[in-house]
Amino acid sequence: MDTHDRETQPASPLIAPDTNLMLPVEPDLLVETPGVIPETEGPKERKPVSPLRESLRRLRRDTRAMVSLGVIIFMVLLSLFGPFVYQHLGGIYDSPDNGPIPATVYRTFYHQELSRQDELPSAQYWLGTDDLGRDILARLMQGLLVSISVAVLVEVIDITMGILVGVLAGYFGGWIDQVLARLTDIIFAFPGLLFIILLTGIFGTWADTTLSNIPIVGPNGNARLLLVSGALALVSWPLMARLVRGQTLQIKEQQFIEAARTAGSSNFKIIWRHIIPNLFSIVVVAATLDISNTIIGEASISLLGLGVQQPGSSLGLMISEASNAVDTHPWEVLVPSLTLAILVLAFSFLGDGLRDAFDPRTKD
Amino acid sequence: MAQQQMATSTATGTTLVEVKGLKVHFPIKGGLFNRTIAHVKAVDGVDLTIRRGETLGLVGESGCGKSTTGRAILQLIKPTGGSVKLNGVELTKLPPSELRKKRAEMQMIFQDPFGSLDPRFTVGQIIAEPLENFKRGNAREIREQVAHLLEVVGLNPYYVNRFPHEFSGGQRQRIGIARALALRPSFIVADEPVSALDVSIQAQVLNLLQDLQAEFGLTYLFVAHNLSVVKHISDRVAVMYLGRIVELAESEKLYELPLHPYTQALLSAIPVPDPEVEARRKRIILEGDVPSPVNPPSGCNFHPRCWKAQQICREVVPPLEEKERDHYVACHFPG
Repeated sequence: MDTHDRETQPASPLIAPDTNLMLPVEPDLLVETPGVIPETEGPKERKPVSPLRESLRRLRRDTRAMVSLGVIIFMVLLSLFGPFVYQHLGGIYDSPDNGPIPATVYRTFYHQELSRQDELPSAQYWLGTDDLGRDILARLMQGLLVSISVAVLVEVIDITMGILVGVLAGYFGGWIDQVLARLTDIIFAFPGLLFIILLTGIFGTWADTTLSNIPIVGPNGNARLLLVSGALALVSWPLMARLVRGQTLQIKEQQFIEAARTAGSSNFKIIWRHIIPNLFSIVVVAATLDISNTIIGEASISLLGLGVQQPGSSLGLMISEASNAVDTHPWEVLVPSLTLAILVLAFSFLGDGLRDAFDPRTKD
Repeated sequence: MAQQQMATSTATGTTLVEVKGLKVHFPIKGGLFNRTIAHVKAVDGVDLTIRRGETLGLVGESGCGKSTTGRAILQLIKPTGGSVKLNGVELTKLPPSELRKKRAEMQMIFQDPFGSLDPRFTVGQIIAEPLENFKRGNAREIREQVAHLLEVVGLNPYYVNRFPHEFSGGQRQRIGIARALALRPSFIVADEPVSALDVSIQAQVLNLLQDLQAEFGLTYLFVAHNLSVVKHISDRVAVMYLGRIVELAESEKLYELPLHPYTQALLSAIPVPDPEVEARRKRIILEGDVPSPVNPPSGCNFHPRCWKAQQICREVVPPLEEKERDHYVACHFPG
């Protein structure tokens, strides 16, 4: 019996399938057959394909997911740099109320130009103005920034807590597992939005007075964002933890974990190097899909007047303000609603695409 | 029992692994307060001595506890009772940190060539993991050792940065073997190392295991359900039934003249590659199924299916006794 495997290697892309027949022996990985590996052969040049690289390659072929990713990137760039660009594109406006003012004034999300209320799009106000004569595009970009910041903050807390508690509960079991189970039961039994409303209602004024002193996040009525983010994360992390726990239980039983233990790896090392990397895909998918809920949650709270306060802006707040005049000025409701819908859909589509790309069952 | 230990130890002079009264009982939880309502007695009192440099085959039907025995010896499953000594050191009572140090001396080759390699590790990382854990050199030295190990198991070191999914089953199993060899262990438990492979690859991997045994002076506990594979590789063979060892003898002896009725039935099931002999071959068909290990039969747990069973078999557990030289049987009516 020969001492090398006769199993075939995947044919190299350089060799057409029919020419394969002319090769005496399939290219082999084994050293016992050194002469068989052709010098100019494909597999030698090929880069190793990690499972992650493979998944990303699948994702790149998913048009819907890639378009969604493009939309998300565009919205992030818009919220971060849009205001600067927009303000530098405008000239001096001779305001009947305020005299001559530059675009850095009238194209801010808080400037009220009371003689220009409820306008449709124009060269000066690209998306028109609202009922207080504020630039809708400027307010929209600020609102996007709020939505995305809240989403990022919530997901960071969500992923950190979810992985920490979920992995510990799944790997070690015991009391931490029991506590997690009861906690998720409570979260499931109690409407999340109601809980958030309760929290923001109780601590809202405290946040306004205390948190508003923090630079950057504090001013412009954004102080409550931290509170809203905390409340949203509080109701979402137990679900993430439960998902991670289930996945950990599954990975824990795989033989490579036993192999790592045999190799003398400590529990910490097994968790850090074997379990968490294998959780990566499922956590990314869950977090992406959860962003949609977070954005809607933040908008709902702002809509109810418990989130961002005037003169700050948020997609939810814009919808809420404009909805009073929805029959006379539908445009002012349409713009933030449409933006919100596109953003949420983009995250959902991207999440779906990521799930398909990572899920080995859909492997081609 | 003491006599029996002495007999085996004196045969070659040195015992590497000594297992006494090993028990692994898994609790079944249930009921209102999640109490333990019963136990699965996967391993129920196993005595084994494994001599330095030998291959001890461990055979039995699926579910008889042979894999669990292997894992309990390596302390991958905490034994419920009994003792396991490796080089005279009692493993069952070692604190976790001490046990981890001991792992350098005992390794395992796994059954599943797909599940036993982390899909996110490269081949190099997989083989380097034990070396890093035991600080066997700096990064460059470890890289050199990994390349050497790959050559030893017959793989091209060039592929050190590849991922497991790019290899075939046989090649993956070689990667697993390289990992098990990395720390230069003295004792390796091979848990059905070839059962997941194509027949043509099985022989290659078995030959590799034998070559490595000669080269590195390894001692194997070879767990398998394929009787011909076990015969091919083992010096001695232990037959397990429902959590206990029923017969233990040198491989040739066991296959020629089995003394336990269960072994006789098991061996009669091996097909013979000669149509005439095959036609004359008498198979012993056992009645009934393997009883549940939750509630094993009293006395000799083989008695409900045994054609020789008497009253004593239902009442008294037959001890594993040396009936002939180096031939141990747990039966009241052997032969």
